[in-house]
Amino acid sequence: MNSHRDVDRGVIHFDFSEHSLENGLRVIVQEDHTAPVVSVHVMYHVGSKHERKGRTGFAHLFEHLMFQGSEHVADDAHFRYVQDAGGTLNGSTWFDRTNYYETLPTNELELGLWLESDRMGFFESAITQEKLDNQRDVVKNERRQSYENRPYGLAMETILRMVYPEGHPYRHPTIGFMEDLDAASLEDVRGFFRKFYRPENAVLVLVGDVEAERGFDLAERYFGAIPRGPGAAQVTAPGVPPGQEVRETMRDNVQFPRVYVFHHAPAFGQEGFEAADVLTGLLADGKSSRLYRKLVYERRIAQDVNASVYPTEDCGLCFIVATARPGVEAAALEEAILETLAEIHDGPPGADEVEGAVNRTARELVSVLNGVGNRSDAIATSATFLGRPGYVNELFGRMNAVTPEAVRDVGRTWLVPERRATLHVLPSEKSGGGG
Amino acid sequence: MTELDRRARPAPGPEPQIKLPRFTRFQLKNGLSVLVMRHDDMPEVSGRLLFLRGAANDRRDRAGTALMVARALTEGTKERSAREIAEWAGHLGVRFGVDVNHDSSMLSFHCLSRVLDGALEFLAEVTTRPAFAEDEVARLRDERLDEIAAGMDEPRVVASLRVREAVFGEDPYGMRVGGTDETVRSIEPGTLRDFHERFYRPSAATLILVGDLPDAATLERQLESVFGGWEGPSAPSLGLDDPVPADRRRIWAIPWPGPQTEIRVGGVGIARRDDGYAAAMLMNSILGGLFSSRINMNLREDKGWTYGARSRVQARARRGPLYVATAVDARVSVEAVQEILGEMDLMRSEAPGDEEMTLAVNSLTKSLPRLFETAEQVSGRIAHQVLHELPDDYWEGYADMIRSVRREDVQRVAQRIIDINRVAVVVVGPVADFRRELEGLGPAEIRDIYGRPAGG
Repeated sequence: MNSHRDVDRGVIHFDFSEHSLENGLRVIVQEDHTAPVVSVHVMYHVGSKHERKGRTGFAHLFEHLMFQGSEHVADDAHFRYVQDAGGTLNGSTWFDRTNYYETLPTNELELGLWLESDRMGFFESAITQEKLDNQRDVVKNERRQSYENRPYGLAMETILRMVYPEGHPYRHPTIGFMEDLDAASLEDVRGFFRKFYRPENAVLVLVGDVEAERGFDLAERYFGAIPRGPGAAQVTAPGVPPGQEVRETMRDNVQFPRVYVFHHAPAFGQEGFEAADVLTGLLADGKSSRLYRKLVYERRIAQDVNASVYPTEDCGLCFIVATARPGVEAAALEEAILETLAEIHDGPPGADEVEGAVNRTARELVSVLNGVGNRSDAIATSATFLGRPGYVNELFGRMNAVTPEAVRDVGRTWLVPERRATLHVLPSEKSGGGG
Repeated sequence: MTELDRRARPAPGPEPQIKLPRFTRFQLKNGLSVLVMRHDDMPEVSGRLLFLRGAANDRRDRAGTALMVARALTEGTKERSAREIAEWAGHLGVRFGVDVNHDSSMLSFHCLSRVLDGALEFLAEVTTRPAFAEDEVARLRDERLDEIAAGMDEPRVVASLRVREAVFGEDPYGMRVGGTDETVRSIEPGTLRDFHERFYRPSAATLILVGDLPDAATLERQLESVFGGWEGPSAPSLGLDDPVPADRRRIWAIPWPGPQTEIRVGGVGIARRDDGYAAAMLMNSILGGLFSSRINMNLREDKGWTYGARSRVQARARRGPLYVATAVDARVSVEAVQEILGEMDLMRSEAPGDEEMTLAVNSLTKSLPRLFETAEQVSGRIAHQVLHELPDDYWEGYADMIRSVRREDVQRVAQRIIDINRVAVVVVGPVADFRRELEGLGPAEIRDIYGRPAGG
């Protein structure tokens, strides 16, 4: 057994080892020999918040280019190598970081390290205008498919514009805007790579069927010779001071109104993050949650209601979203949501109710940490955002320690009008049914 | 270690030994089969209760019944109100879900092992003693109607629903599992009670438990105690013939204003029991099942027309669907359909190359280690065995079964299940902009989002 656990005492603990290479690459190995698989995870501390004006969407476009080959890996070969080895792979871009990962059978660990080190150390010579143009088209189609041609798909970028002031690093969506995607040049690609895709700005996490010593030796072998960069200037998204509630209404090609109530919230790892997480579970996770019961079950004014906290490195966001049933106005949803928040402010929820929310949130955490892929992500995130990979071992305990008072307090501090943005998405004149 | 030569892909080590699910089985006195496997590296349990009875048993004018039965289980029992049930599950922190398709109904739960006792009690109560109270059924019916309506805001949902109808016509596989606005309105508490009475019976059910479990004797005692009062034989599933492909190509063009066109090209594929199953899975990997498959490499990586394009071959109890799905820049709608038809036809006219075959075989066989990693994955794989009545050691022979397929077998199965002159093509997009070009592929019918002829 590699992962010591004692759930009744509120502990899930993973033993791991950590070591930095000369070039600054941080390497973390967490052994787990349950299944003959290993996750190779590289997280770069660069995301959409690092983009410059006029180049929104660039970090994500860059992520796409990282799959288009490097000096020793042919153009179309990256996916093929991994799938041919029986592995799975992907990458993702967030406000604060970009990650690349593959889960492989144990015997193909070196394949993952070879692919990741080649694009970290030997990327520039392989990049061409043709690849940039092709992936720009792909990303523009991603924007059309997942945002523009999807109901409520443009709400999120409206919200970001509402909650963060002009010039704020979190103000734009990771997918970016079409005109900025059009503007991206090869020069931008090279500059971005040189600045951010350096070993000292990354963490390599190996989770699974690999001995720590071997993991470190192989990391040295594949990544050791990659030169250190000049040191990337980090960006911190500043907290937004409490002010007036922001409100907007937008139209979309939908049949049913939807209400978004956003609040600024603690960032990942910050005091209050777990309490906010438990609070959103108490509000909207499952049929016993307060908002579900009030909006969906009792008043029958909503089709669905969701709430969550974004795990951001800097200032966070907590959202509540509800979609109206036929014939119901957005105002009725908003009113019911605000009533529920007022009840949270009034007094701490019952111990039983919080225990349930904790149980649900803890179960969810277990189902995130049970696979090597997601676990490596959690470790890499802890290392990147907090400089403390061990934070992952505190999560379960912190979750279990959330008290009714802590839930009330996080509600009183954060879920208040001064930190709120409310967006109503309403059907456009000629809406639904494809017009 | 030798000097690192970056030019070559590192040689793999010896293939790892895979820990495949060796479950134990026992039967409760009422006939319920129980399959159990310990998988205890995390403090969790994944459970699935599977009935080989699904939406294909719904009366056509009450389609959606099987799904609504499963949903209604947690909306009140003979002992507890819907609200009390919700609080019970909420307090345990158990995640309960239902997955109903044409051939089966599955109730799943995931919980921390510290609450397993409660979770089993919960599962037994909702499964065996649901109330189907009038007001709760009315509410569920409204929820389902809302859901159906909301789906019509999504071009991808519209396209997927319509291609199924265009492919299967009157066969139950052409009917949406959750029913239509019209059929759902006719579902009454009695409809649900009747379905439950006939099919939710221990003799036709299998309970799969995987995770951090107590010893078998304790578990058996516990299950006898919670499922003990449940009895009776299940009605047989309807015996249906395999669906038959249409005799000509059909093109449905559904107007939708937007920057992209959702495309589906579908046909009647293969049954799970068919000897060509393994070859069909490989064919799918090569055509559009993998990122590096022909269709995705063509439409995305070569042309940049889409964020992604894929194919699926769903082998079901009877011949299930095979289809290609993508969303493309609306300006290249018809060219994209042409490319898809071309790639599909090529699967028939030529056996795949050795390199493609190797990639497809490897991706299906070498991926086994990571498909049995978590309790939920393992219970899901076992459910697949139960659903398709596969032998207990099925996964042990799986890799050999896939490896024994030859390139000619892939071509042969393609010739059997792909025929681009008999497929259904559904496009949802700004049809007026490309209708004339589309007609070049055959007569196009203008339909509305509900699939009704819309003239023009």
